[in-house]
Amino acid sequence: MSSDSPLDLLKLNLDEKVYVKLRGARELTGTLQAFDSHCNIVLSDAVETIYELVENELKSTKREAEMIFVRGDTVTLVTTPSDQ
Amino acid sequence: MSFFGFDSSGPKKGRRSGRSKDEKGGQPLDFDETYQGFGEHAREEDDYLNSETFGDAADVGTDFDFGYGASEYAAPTASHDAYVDHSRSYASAATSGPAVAAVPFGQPAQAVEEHLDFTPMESLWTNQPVHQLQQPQFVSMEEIERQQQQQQQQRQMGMLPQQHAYMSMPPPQHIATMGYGFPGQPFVSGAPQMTGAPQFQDRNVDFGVQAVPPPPPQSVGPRPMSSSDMPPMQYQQMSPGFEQVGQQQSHVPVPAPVQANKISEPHHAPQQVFSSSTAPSALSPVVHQAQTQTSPVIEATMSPKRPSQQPLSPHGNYRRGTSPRVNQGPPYYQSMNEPFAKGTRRNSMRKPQEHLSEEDWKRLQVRQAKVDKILKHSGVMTPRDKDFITRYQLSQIVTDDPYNEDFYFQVYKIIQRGGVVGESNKGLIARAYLEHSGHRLGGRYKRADVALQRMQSQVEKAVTVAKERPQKNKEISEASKEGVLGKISASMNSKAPRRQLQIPTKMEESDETTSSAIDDVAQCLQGVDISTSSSKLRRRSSYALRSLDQSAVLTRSGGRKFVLSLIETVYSEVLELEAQLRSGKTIDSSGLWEALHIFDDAFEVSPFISILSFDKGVKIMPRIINFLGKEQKLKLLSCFFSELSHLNIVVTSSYRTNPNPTGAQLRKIELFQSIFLKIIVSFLSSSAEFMEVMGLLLALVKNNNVSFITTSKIGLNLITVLISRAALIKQDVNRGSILSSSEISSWNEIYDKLFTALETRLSLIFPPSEYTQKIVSITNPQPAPSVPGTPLAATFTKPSFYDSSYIWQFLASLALSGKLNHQRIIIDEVRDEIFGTISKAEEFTKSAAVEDQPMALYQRDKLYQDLNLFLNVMGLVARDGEISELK
Amino acid sequence: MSTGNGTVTTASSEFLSNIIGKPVVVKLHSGMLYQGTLESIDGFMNVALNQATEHYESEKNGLLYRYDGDVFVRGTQVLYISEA
Repeated sequence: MSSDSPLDLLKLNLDEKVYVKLRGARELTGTLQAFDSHCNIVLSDAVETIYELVENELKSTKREAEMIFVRGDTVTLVTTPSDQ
Repeated sequence: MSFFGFDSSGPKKGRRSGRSKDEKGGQPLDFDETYQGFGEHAREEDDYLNSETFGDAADVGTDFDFGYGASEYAAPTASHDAYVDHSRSYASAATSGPAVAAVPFGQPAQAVEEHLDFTPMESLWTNQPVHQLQQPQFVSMEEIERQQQQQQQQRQMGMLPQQHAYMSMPPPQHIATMGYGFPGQPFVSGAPQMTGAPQFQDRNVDFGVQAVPPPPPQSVGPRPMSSSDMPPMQYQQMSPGFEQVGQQQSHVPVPAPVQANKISEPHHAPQQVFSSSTAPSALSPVVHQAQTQTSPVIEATMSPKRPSQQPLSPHGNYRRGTSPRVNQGPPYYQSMNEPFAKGTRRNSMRKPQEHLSEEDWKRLQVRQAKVDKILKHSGVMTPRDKDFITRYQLSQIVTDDPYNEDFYFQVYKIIQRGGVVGESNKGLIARAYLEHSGHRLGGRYKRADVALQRMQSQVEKAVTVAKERPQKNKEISEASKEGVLGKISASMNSKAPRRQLQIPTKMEESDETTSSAIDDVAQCLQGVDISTSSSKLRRRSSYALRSLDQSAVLTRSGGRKFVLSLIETVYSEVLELEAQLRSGKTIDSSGLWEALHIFDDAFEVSPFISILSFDKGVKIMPRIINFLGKEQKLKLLSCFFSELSHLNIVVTSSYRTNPNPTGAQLRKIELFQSIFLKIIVSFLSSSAEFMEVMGLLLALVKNNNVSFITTSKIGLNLITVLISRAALIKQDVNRGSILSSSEISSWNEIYDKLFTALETRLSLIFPPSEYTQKIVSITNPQPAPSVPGTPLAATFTKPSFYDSSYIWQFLASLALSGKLNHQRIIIDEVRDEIFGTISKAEEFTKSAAVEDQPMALYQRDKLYQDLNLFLNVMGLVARDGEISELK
Repeated sequence: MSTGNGTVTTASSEFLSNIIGKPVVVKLHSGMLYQGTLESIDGFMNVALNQATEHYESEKNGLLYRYDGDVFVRGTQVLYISEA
């Protein structure tokens, strides 16, 4: 059974852990609670990873949120996290 | 220039135009036939408009000025004849023959006035003598001056000349004036109508000051105005006037026999309308003409912009107030643009205008010329013109049959047919016009409603079409938002993003069931314990899951996506069933059963097992079970136990396959236990027969690596549930009367199988201490180092330990069901654990601080309690660091 | 004059439907390049890729990441889609 729309992919991943890539080298992981056609996304138990270049070293900082709403226009990519 | 695409370059004989060729038949189309009736009376040179309408080799030029450009308004209009030319129309031509159409009625100027009824669209069709175009386009100031002087002189001579002066106002103004709305028109129209009738020549009498040398500006009123400008009494006066006109009509000598009373004098038209209002057989020329004051022209030329529409009051009275577009009369009166109107008004105020000095006149004329220039194109299209065009555009948008809605096409069609039909052409064209013009009041009296409805329905149609568009989008987005768990995003009413393309979906079922056989073999080889292979056709390697590589299992059950989509299907099935249940309908759960894919041999691992790998799959289970019959439940559980090793949760909860569990995984385990284990327990205790329990246990033992399963908390719990239920039933039955020998033997057989699988590995059911410590640290995270000043109570945490009760429960039920030798084996194998637990329990009280004593005591008791659950089965009890016989 | 729902089936959409199931390259406005099997695509240019690899600007610039699961790429970020 193939999903006929890419958004179905998101639908299938509802209540599952997802990895969301955002503009500006930001990424989020969390459980996909909801989404819409704009890719507005609600994640629970979300972890945001921010990459920074500090003195030519790539540093990542993490920030956690129990529930987070991501506005769709910054979303570039959604997939299943590799550790799942 | 050809409206209908005629070959305008065709041969012409004598006539300037109108020789068009029927493309198909090659039959020449003769305008004599096409416009029968008129042709007989019209002179060749009067057909000047044909060329404009239907094309003419006589070059009009690419710079043809549709707006009556400078050429027109600046044209010398000094001579009376020029006006006559202006006023030419087919009608007049037909009726009066030679150029000066209206002269016979003794009021040349007035007649002219009537015919000078230019309306913009009409101009395309009629009224515009070709030769006018060829006149010099610009007129010098001197000429204007001279003109004005002439006019002035004329004015001095009396009213008629003065009208001339108005006449001399350039046509462009007439056009422009149209833009000022209809309300004014009726008012204006009054004058010409009055004047048209001979007896009204001295209307000064009737109207007094107001009407007297009716300075056009006066009546014009610069804006759409208002019949209120006109004293009500005038209406009264007018009615009789019209009647008189009508009566007079018969006395008028009519030069054109064919059109006898119809065309004779346009002024009579309104009256005719009134009288004919009860017999609206619109196609008859009479009515047509009657309908339009300028009717002859229209009839002959089918002006698309027909001023007509004589509003008819039900009583046949000419009611200006209620019917604004009464009369297109000589629109130019009203056509005065504001500045111009002002200018002229000033004049009128100063009447007698003769008193004006030459210079004043000059100035006035210059000014007028300038204004005219400025206003040359303003209002080229009247609101009605725009409305007209809009209507067509609208109808083109909403129509199913664009050709049918296309006026030009209709007319073209009729003309194409024309050669044959001949006589009725005129009527047909007229009708086509009426039907398509969509005048608010309808072309014909009776068609008013039809036209109106048509317009309205078109608008409605257009609106609904526009409405449907966003709705469609909405539906699409809504469908995609419907979440598996009923979680629908809040922005239901938000607009969906703009879809850029419609991509045809090809519903090819992509075969995702990639059975990676080689992978499986490799994994099997890695497996430590190789148990009895299943007799089933589909080979289910049960033990191979050394890793947490869930995707391997998923792949073998159709792939992650497949399973996820199954879950979606299951959810929708369940939701539907629940809706049916609420509405009291009969429930058919076959769809749901299908969706579960419980015995789907297409996959190595039942998709159902993979459904349980997802939390959302587990969560829906209680609702699924509600809709399943006992048979189905049994099948479901049998499938479940047969493939327990594949169950993701078993793998996750086994310390061997998952030595480093995460908090999320522990929560998963918890979830599964609280949901699915509960289902099993309630099913077994409520409805399962002994043999059914045996069947499930057999399925488990036969198809799985029992030893592996016992290393997982979930697996151990499941086995415990089965054997304890079997033991309970057995006891019940024993108490009641008998367990059939076959049942007993099967039970013994199955138990032996189970025990054999576990023998020598019983100690392995105890997870290693590292594992238990990890779990403890996850479930009871160490408190953060206490901040100075924090109350001591806040840092107090109960020293926790791994809850091994499930293990002792398992051992207890295993021992309970076994014979004495089984129990001995068990004790032998787990002896270390027993004593380990005892010593651990004793340590709690010894090591605990004074203030922690109550907690330590509780924990010690808990440990003893768990341990004794097992020991009691064998008549033993552990207490205070010792094991003794149970008294 | 079409009174349909405003969407048009054109050669471009036909192309997009024809390359479903084929290896494709998707470039985003950000310069990220994704190569993988086109699972599905919709009219918003949302794309679902299978076995996607991530590169910057060109595959020659090395592999940045390999996604195991299906990858959803948001349509608004897509610069182009081409058959690989």
